[in-house]
Amino acid sequence: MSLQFESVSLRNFGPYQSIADLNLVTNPDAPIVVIHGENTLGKTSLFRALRWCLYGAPEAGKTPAESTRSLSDYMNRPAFAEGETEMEVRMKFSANGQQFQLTRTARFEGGAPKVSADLRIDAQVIQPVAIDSEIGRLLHPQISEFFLFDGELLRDFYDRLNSDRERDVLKRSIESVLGIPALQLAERDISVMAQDILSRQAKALKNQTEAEKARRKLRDLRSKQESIEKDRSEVEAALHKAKTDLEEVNERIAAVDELKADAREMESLEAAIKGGEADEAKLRHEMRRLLIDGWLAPASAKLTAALQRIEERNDQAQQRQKAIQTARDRVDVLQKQIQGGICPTCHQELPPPDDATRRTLARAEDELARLKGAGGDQADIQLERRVRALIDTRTLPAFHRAQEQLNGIVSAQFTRNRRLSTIKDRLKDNDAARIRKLAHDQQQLEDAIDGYNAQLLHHDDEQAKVQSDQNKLAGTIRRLGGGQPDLAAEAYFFEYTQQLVQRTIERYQERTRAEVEGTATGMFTKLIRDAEGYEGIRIGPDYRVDLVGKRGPSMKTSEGGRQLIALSLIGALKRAAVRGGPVVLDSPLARLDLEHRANVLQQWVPELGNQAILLVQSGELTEAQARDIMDNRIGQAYRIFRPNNDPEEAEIERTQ
Amino acid sequence: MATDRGDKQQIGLTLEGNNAIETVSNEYFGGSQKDAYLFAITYAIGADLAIENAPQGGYTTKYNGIGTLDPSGSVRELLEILNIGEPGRPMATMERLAELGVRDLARRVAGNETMADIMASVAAE
Repeated sequence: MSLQFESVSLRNFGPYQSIADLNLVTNPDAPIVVIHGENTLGKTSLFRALRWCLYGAPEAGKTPAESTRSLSDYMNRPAFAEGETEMEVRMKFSANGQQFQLTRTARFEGGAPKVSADLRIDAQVIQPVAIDSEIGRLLHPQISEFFLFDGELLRDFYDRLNSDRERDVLKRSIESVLGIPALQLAERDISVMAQDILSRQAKALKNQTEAEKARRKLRDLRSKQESIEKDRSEVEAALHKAKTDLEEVNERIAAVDELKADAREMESLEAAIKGGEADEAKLRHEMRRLLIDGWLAPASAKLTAALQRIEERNDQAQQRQKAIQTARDRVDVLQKQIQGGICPTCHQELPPPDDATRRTLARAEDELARLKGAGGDQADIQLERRVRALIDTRTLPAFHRAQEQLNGIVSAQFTRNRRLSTIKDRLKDNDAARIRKLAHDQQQLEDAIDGYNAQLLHHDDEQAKVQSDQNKLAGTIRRLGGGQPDLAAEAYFFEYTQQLVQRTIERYQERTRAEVEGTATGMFTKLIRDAEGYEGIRIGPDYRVDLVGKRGPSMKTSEGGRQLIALSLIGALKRAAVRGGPVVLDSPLARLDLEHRANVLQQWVPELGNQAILLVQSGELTEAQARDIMDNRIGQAYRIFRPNNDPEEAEIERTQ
Repeated sequence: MATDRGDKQQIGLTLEGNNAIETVSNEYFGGSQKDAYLFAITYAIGADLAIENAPQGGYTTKYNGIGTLDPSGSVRELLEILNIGEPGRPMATMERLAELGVRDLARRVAGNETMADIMASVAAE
């Protein structure tokens, strides 16, 4: 089987609001996917999105429960500000001829985020409780550190290999990668079967004294074996319980961290509420002033209507006055024309009067009399001014705007107070003493787990001793003879099988260790400048890693050298691993100089198998360098960019 | 005290009007009943509240009409311009309008209408 990532889609994860089906498919001839992105654009976010989707924890070494607290850090903030509350990553991959689609979603609706996962294998929907084990079968989280690798941790990786506690964890992880635990279980099963045949042989012995002696020894051995098994079983149960308890305590500690975040949020909410109260009081005061100063505003519509009427009345009066004046002017002109003289308008000498002029004058005087007699109000401009002065057109819109602002403030205050109340409810059941006790419990459980692991190692030694005694007894029984030939044959068979398996395990451990050591040394010498100055990398049976120089082991090396050792070891483990799969590396070259970067790309990357996804920045590898160095081995190439110069927004485009 | 044809000097509100003005002034005028009283008069005008519906008696004195409430004469001018109430008795008119206004405002405030809504409805009358 070989796991291969086919695509990834992101919604509101980190700076990515929407990345749909980013194609990751590769083939054996072009197994490399390169994703270029400058610092801070979002390479690590993409890397962590893959890890979160697979294991529920974006960062290595953290459980999903521990990650819950910081999950909101990954929610895309512009989307959240626009009212979106979901973050989602979907991966499609293939393994064992089956198609997998894994979707992990987090909902942020106040309080701790709600995380859910959905896995479909071909058309079958997997029960949520079985999702982790399905993914674990393909790429176990314990070994994921080797294959989903954050380049920033390269130096830590080397340091971890050389500290006792971490080395134990790494040794078990590495042996898991190499498939050794399965062989160890088989060895234990064969041992039980061998003991059973010994028991039957002892019963069949002719010499009763020797038979009794053998049976007694066998009983002792069985008793010891049972005691070891019982102890082992108890220790394993206690270890399991301690791990479960630790996980629970860690979850509660994560919740405590959430509580700390709650306390911080409460402080900021209280400050915001106080500010909101001040804003509200200020606004209410302004609104009060508006009403007091604008007390006439409610009557403005009535005053406006009255003003219209007055204006119309004044217009009519003015028009009437104008008509009277016109008629009066006409009468004046005609009278002057009859009297003779100069036209008051054009200052020309008027023509002499005739009958027609006299008739026109009579009509004009009648018209003037009619207009004067028609009556009507005089224009009252003063009244118009007084009404206009009373009309308030400012208060109503100003008050309306203020009311809208007030509504906004009141609504925000309501939301803040409701959130504050929720947080206070959560905080009231927790106090400092309980939080301190959690830290104490955590320490005790971690110590207990260390103790149980040490006991299990001691059981391994005891088991080996029982095994040795059992072998001696088998030899004694064989020498005594008299047993039944078929039992003897069966005993030989199991003894042989057991030795075979033991030797196989030892040889496999040694071979794989030597293979990993040899491969790592080979890779290291290809990667390092002045390779002739080094003998190689030595990996002890406990996976202690030493750099061997011309003058012996434990050779000191630089930070860059330690990173190259770590890369060599990862490459060697990848080659030795019993299960294939993709390797995803975030900034693996960032701390290397130019020459070593080229070495890593030319010598190390091609060793990574059928799919290697590299997230790199131009400082470690430009797009041109990638093409020059890896050429047609690149299956997919992408570039991360910011479409709007907004650091909280990123997109990915294909470059090849 | 009103004379037969003369206007009132001291004006006020009924008991119900007093309760209403307490609500309205506390809600919107920082407790200032005089400001609420003036506002209620113009509100009653804007809302076309029928003056004949105001109680005929039962008012207790609150203010000196001219000296305290309308020293500038703006209210009287308003009544005169809009031709509201009994001619020559602006103070009595103010009292009745204020009574109608505070009662209606208190009713609408109790019905969860905001002052912006109330003012907008009056502007649209």
